[in-house]
Amino acid sequence: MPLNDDRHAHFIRLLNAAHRRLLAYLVSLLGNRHDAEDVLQKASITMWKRFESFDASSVKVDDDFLSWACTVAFYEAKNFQRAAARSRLHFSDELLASIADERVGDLVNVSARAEALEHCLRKLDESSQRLVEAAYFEEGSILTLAAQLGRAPQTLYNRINIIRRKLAECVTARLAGGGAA
Amino acid sequence: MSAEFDADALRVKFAALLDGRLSEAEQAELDRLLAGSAEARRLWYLHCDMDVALADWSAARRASPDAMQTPPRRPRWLRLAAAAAVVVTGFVLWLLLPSREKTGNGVALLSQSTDAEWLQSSAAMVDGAVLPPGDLSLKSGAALIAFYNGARVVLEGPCEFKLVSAGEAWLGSGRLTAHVPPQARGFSVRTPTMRVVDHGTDFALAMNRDTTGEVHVFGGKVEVALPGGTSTLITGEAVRVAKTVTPTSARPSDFLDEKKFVQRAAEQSGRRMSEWRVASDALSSDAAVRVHFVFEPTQGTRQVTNRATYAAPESHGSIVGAEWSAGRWQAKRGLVFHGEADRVRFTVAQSMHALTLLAWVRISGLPHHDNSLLYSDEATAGSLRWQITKRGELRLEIARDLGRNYADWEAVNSRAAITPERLDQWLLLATTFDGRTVRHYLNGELISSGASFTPPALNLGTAELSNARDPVKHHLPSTMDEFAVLDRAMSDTEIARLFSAGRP
Repeated sequence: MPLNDDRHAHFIRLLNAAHRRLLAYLVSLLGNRHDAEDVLQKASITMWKRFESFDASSVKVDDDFLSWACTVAFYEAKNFQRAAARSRLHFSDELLASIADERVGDLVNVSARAEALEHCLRKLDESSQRLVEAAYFEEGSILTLAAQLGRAPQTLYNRINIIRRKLAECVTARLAGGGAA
Repeated sequence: MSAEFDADALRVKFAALLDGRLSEAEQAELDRLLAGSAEARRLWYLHCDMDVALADWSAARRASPDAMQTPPRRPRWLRLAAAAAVVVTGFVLWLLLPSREKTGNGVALLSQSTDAEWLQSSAAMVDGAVLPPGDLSLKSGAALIAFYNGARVVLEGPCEFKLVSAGEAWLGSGRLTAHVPPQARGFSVRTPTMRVVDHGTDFALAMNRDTTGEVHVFGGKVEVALPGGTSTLITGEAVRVAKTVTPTSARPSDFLDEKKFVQRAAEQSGRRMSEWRVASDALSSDAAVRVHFVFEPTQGTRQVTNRATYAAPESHGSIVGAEWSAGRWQAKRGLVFHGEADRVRFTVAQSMHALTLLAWVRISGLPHHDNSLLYSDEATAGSLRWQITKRGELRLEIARDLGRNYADWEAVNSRAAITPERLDQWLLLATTFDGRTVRHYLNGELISSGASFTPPALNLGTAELSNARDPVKHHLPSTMDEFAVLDRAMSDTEIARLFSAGRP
């Protein structure tokens, strides 16, 4: 790549700062965290290749980079869905377009939601925390767990759904009440 | 906030979607709901943000040093095993995964085997396999087991044998010989009637199904603990243990020791290599073969010869960095792609319309997001990339021209088949493409297939093995000892046959 090191470092800094929001953006489009990670990896390469065309000097806030990066990520996601069309379910094009539009503006909430969630997680009892950990640690681990315990996976899914509801309510209350929850 | 939907029910659907458990009809319904309601979409965004944050939180929790009994953080695809060990519904349950699934609790290596037929499923029982505690019974053949503490045991089939720990084993019936170097002193083997502790260096044990048995000492000192007391045997001594204990003298000729085992293995290796050579020569002369490397060094050059009958001059490979090392058999060579710059470059100028990619490789790790087996320099319509993802999926990517100023890579992945226990073993990886369907094979078996678009032509062009010309790292740390590109899709049977003729 003919771009110099400074420019590369600048790109990496911007990309790192936007990483979690880009991932959240892609998850809402693709409905799958692992696919989102794959697409983000691909999109990062495309971004790097096209970073020249992005006028970094005009960047006042990282949000400019974020919306540019979201555009690149959106097309990469569409690309991915076309390639995976036969093997995966996905949202309709119309829905994707409205999510893509709306979600860029919604991304300002990502870090506040994460902070609220952290707080709410601490209020869970230890066994619930551990179940969440297992559920999110690796794809398929709930099935593994259920098999190991000789339980129906649905039992564990139900339990996790209850925990998720508690967390979602706690996060919503906390964000609405400015931290009172 | 209206009652146009039930937020709880919606969250359950979101969760099912993210877990890949939603049916097509449910997905369509969810699509309508989301498209029709801004509030539903707001909940979806919140759910996605929570999903990302919870994944981070789980990974961090797993990695934090103060978490109870936390294993060190490993790459995500290695962490599956650890994930099962959790507490559920308030009870502490330390769960054991099926034993072959993880490498973390290995106690020994399957160093080498000859004609071994195992009692347990044998897919994972290849030379170099990491062995956790558990059953290791042989129906026939023989195997050399290297315990982590340094002891080496030759097992002769049929036998009933179990690994207990890095320094202990159990023999129900059958025969074994053990070599116990100083650092492994104290290595012990239990049987139904006795416990044999070695204080260095060589002994043999034979157990009959009626629980009578013999202990022979060929070098050093061995302690034999019986219900009635303990006796010590030294070089040249042996005991027969039945209702009574009878001293006798050691007979090395009755047992398969490591030296005899290695000799037997070498003979088998030679036999297997001759079998492979016949199949390999047939492959070289297949009219559809564009490239066939068998990696035999040519004196004084850094080139690998394309053995295809009609090999274009530019199709011979030039070696960059990679060094020669052992291949599948003792007399076979392979190329080690150890350094990050190591690669073999070659050119296939002709376009192709179907494809078979074959590689015998021994992979030592999957450090990058995509790890390259084969990578076209160009990224124009029909260019190819053959990779293994960090999660162990085999992936074929074909470049597609959609009229933009860069190529769109369309990929078909296999399921995650190159799992940690497959590392450091010889594997036959194969991918075929008949113009419509991509099929991925591991060790002669079809593991996954997926539909692809139909490119006007496939253009490998100038390409590299085990590396890529790309700003992102793709180096695949591996040894390769055979590689082929064919302009036709081989059948399941052909690939299965190549595997059985070429397995080490």
